[in-house]
Amino acid sequence: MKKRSHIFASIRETFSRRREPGYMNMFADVFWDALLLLGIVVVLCAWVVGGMEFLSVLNELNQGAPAQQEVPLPLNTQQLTSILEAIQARQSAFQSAVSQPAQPDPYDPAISVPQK
Amino acid sequence: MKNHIVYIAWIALIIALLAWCEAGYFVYRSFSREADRAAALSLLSDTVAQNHREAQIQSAVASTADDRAVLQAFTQVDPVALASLIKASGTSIGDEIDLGNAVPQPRSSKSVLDAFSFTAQAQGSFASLMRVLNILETLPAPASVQDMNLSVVPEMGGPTLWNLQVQIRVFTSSSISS
Repeated sequence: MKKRSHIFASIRETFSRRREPGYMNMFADVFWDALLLLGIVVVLCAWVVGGMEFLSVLNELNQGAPAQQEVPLPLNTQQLTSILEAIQARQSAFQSAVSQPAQPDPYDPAISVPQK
Repeated sequence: MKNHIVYIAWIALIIALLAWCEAGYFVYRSFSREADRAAALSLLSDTVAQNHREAQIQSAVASTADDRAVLQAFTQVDPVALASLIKASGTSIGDEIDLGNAVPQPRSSKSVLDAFSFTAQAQGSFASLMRVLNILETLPAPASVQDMNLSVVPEMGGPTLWNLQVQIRVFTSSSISS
């Protein structure tokens, strides 16, 4: 804690006496070092961000196109086929009903219906 | 000498500022290109999906042309032809089927077909009327029996006669407004 306050005190003193020849050189060095440090930090950040973006693009390319959600077609061929089969069965039943010979009438329920 | 160093410092500062501007512009361009690439990829994906779907639909339409023609012929019911068919069917089994009360039915909001209903009436033995009913239930048309009334005809002597009255609803893609 003491060391840090000493550093800030030195910086404040250097900045306040920056016009003096003895401190001007030191202030220029500190300013230049700070600029270098800032530049290095910016370049490092750019590298990190750029690398992450590059890796994300590589991952996207490796994963390929995203899977499309299957949307059902408006025309259901299975349903159409089943309907046609039902139509065919109905036509066969009609032909059978028309062409079958007349049956005797053994189960006429009128036998038990009271006549008026 | 001192002025010379100051000039060099100013030139170096300007070059440094220009370099930083160029770096910022490069970052901006990179993100802009990335956004464009993502948009182009999304558009390409949508286009591929749409083309795939259109190809599926065209394939389904082409492969079901005959089936759809059969279905269209089945639903294209001519009321007069259907009445003739019912009467001829009744005649072929020895019963006379009377038709009447043909009225158009209101179309439901979900239906794409028009509908009409009519009443069929026949008299005969119980077995013959069951055959008539069987015929009416299996008409080769999108029709269904809505109501049925079977009653004994009061008669003096002789075999028992039955009266059959059936209301049938028929769907059709033909126009029945006229």
